[in-house]
Amino acid sequence: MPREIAYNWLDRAAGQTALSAEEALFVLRLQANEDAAYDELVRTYNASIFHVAYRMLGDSAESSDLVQEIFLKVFRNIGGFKGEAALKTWIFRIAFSEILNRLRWWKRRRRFATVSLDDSPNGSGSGRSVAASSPTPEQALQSKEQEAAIQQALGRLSREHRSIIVLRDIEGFSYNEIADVLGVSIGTVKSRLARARGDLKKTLMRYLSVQHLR
Amino acid sequence: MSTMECATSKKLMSPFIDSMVTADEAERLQEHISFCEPCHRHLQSFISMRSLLARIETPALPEDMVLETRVRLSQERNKNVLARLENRFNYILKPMVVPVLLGVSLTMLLFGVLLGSLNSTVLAQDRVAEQSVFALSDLPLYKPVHTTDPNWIRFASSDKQDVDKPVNIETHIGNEGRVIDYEVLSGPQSPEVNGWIHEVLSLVKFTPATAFGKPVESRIILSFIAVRN
Repeated sequence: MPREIAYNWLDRAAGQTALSAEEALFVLRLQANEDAAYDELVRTYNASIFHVAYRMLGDSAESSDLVQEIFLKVFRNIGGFKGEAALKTWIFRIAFSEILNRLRWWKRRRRFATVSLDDSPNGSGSGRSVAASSPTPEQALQSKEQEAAIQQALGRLSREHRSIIVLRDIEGFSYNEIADVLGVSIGTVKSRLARARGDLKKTLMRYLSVQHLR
Repeated sequence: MSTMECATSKKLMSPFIDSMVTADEAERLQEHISFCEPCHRHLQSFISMRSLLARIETPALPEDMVLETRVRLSQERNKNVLARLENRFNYILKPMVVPVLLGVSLTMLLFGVLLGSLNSTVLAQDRVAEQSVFALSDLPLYKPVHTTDPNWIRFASSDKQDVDKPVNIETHIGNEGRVIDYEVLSGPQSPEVNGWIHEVLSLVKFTPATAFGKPVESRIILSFIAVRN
């Protein structure tokens, strides 16, 4: 019974749950199957889940499909959520489980994600641009080339290394959040991230600016 | 402060750019890279790469993704009608169960007390009705018309008239106890008998019937059997 579960964890002492009061109430609304709460959930998380999925899979359509699967899984499991982790990390744990399953499925069918310079995820260019002003055609081309190179470089990393780079360096998760999402210790996060960055650096060397010591 | 080796330095670089090293480790690393060119370049490339990844363009969301997600979620949520009803019950009806039960119990108790007091009144009235010879009404809140006037009973029986057969008279009694009208239903019909009936009924004064304690008009059947001198 969702409500009973919700009461159980809501009644805990404040230090025993990873949720703020506001987040706990939001989870209660989700467990009560409230329409507005699900709209808010989709609004809040759909972009970041899509970005993570896209960086992991390198395929916009597959990522979009996977985002829907992830939200369905969140809905099916929200009754069992007891507040032992923040809602965000709990959702991304589900997301990564689904993403890694998809990658395994691809591997079994010998499918490899490929990204070409023409297959930009931004399509007609409606995505958010980093530059405040409109880039010149040369800058736009360079940016597109870098984007493709990064995506290809990510694709060459192992799943573990790719996951940790996406979470930390692209999505900006904290070490604690990464540990929660991937189900590993902080020490493992540190060492795995160092190795992943070392691997990625080798591939992206030509795009990095390195100043000499004099 | 000991001098740091390049291997240790490289190990610290990744957490260093995330500010995940201690102050002491940070100080030793900075001292090391201040004179070690390879380690300096290594750290520079780490910082540059993090900056490159942070600047990566956010992929545009597919146009219909949000809408499709909402639709699929909505379909999933409405798939199990029983679960939906159970949820509604848990969140809307369940909290009302205790107050509603309490309310129903109190109402029943109140009615029980009220009906109990009414019942005792009814029983008392029934007993009065049973004692009355002229009881025509079974309605509990009504008291039937009657008389216990011994003079009238003596007069009615000591008249000179001989009536062999029973005489039944429907009598209309006013709210003051006087006979307003009457009709002979059966019995011998003769001027003498009619005169006797008229005289007897004009003399009598009944205790009028009452409804809810107020005197009201009523009708009774009077029977005279074997009236003799």
